[in-house]
Amino acid sequence: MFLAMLLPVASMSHQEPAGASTWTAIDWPYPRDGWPAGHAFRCAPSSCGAPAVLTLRVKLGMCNCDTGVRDDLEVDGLSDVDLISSTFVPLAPGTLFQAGALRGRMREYEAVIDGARKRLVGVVLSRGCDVVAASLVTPDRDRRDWTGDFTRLLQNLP
Amino acid sequence: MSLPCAKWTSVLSIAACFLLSNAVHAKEQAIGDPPEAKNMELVGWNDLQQRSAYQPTVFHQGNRWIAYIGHHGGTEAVPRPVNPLTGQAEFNGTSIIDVTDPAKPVYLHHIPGQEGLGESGAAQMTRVCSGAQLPKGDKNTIYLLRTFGNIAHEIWNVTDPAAPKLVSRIEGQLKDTHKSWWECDTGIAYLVSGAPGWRTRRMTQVYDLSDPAHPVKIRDFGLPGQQPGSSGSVPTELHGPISAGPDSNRVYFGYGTNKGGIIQIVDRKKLLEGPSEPTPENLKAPEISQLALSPLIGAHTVLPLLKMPIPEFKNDKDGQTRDMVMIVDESLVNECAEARQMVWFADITVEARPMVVSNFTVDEASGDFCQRGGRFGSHSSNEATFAIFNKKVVFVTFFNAGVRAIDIRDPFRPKEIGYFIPAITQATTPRCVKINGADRCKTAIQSNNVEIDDRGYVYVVDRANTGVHILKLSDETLKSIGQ
Repeated sequence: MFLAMLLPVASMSHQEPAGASTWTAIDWPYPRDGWPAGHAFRCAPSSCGAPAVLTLRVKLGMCNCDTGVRDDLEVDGLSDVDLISSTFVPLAPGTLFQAGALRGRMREYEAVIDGARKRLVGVVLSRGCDVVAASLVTPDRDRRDWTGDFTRLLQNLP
Repeated sequence: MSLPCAKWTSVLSIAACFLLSNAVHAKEQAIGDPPEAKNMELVGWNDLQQRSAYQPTVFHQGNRWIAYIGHHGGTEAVPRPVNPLTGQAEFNGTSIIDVTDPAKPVYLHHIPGQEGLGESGAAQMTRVCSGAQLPKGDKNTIYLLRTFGNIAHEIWNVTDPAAPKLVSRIEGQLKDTHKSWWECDTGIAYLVSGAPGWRTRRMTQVYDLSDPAHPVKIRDFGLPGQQPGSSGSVPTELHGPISAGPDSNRVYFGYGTNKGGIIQIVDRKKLLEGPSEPTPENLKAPEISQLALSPLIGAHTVLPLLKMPIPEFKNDKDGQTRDMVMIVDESLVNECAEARQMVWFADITVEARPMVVSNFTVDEASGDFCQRGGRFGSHSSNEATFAIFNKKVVFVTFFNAGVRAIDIRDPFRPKEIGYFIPAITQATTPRCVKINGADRCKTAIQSNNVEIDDRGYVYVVDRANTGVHILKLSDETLKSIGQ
């Protein structure tokens, strides 16, 4: 409901990737933390080219009600990539990300999980005092642009 | 339940839909309703020019008592309220009120703050020290330390509180500021800032302000992982420190508002005299211990209550006296769409093993507070330690449940002995939640911060523009605590 409240009915600003990937809803894969669990999805290599787990959840109550997602620090701290690995390392400065009235940033990271190098993507979007956080984890070799998947799942949740 | 609610099945959605779609039949406040009170009485009131208020500090200067009250930024409707004293529109800053006669507070002056709405501008924080106490201050001068929005800290000469003069300003491309602490006997200040490069919105900048005209930086401080150049998970951001001073040699830091609270006990001498380079080792060196709270709660205020005799333990062979800290979480979200934020007491007698031993919250059902509108839950306590209430009673704001007087003489069993929920006025601004994408708003008092003076008056200020209410405990209640 909160995503429905936050997300606009209008179309998103990003294009969907060519060839619709199939995302299957799964149970929230991470331990309970300070925020209620959100929605999680899995995409098989046959559909996305690499195995991927993507999460979305709303975090009500952000202090920067007027300034919104100001910098990459917000992505590092709020996007839930720290649920995937506490030792993530950013690969580059983040980029602006907009989905309708929701504005924020996307950033990529890498981390070693159980001996395997992984690629992480974090997204934080805000409107007013509320935030939508999203994360994605795939193998390190993956180079897919996941922007459209984030956008589509934000827009078309069940 | 609306269709969007039905589409969502997570715990979050179910709980939130329930909360937000059943907001009827509550005891909502209405203009004209009297205040609600038990064992607390209204003495005086000032509307603070209808500005959203944060930190009050009341200082006994000469034969006067002066309240310095910090403000949040304005609203979209009124971003720059008019100061009736000057006739000028001024961004919210610091209100200075003569409360010598608490029944008739007199608004003396408004120092404008930074442009910005809500948390973005204004001048939220106030601390006051006398130059007679500061090691290198002018002996005849009273100094106000305040934030200037999110970008600077300022020191003002408020010897004549009706005509403040800027003394100095600490800048440095700060991205945030908040609830700082100033030791008047040493001049050491723990400024809550957001320094460039630090991976957190708020951390500590330690300054020597013993000569307020010439601030001297000592070091930057934070939790390892917040310093520039670090990576991985970012520890919870600072909310505010309270120093117990050089004799106790401890500083208590509270991290977090309504999530991921951390209490950090720090050796003051090591903090001030240790190597200042913000390496993980240097940041860890002054730390004595941490108490990680539940991720569901934060730590807005960490108030040390040291060497407290515990009546229940008086016949025990050991542990009759305990060092305690009171932890106050901050509610951040309207209409209970978050975990309950409340008050916790931790026994830190064995500093390396701090342990939460008790708690306090307002009974939600006693006022249907989740349905009244605005925030419900704790926010802030008094921080002054005047003898009349020290280690006996604390006052804690609970937003729409007003201010609560809590008997802490046995901190293992805190109990409420009074409360006051101010009435709303035409100036009280509504608080809104989204229902199916549209705002649904209610108007309720939002008691934000509270402070006491050495006479026993209690000053509670409103986040929703209703001003400052000056209160006292009833005579019977004062007697019950030995006053």
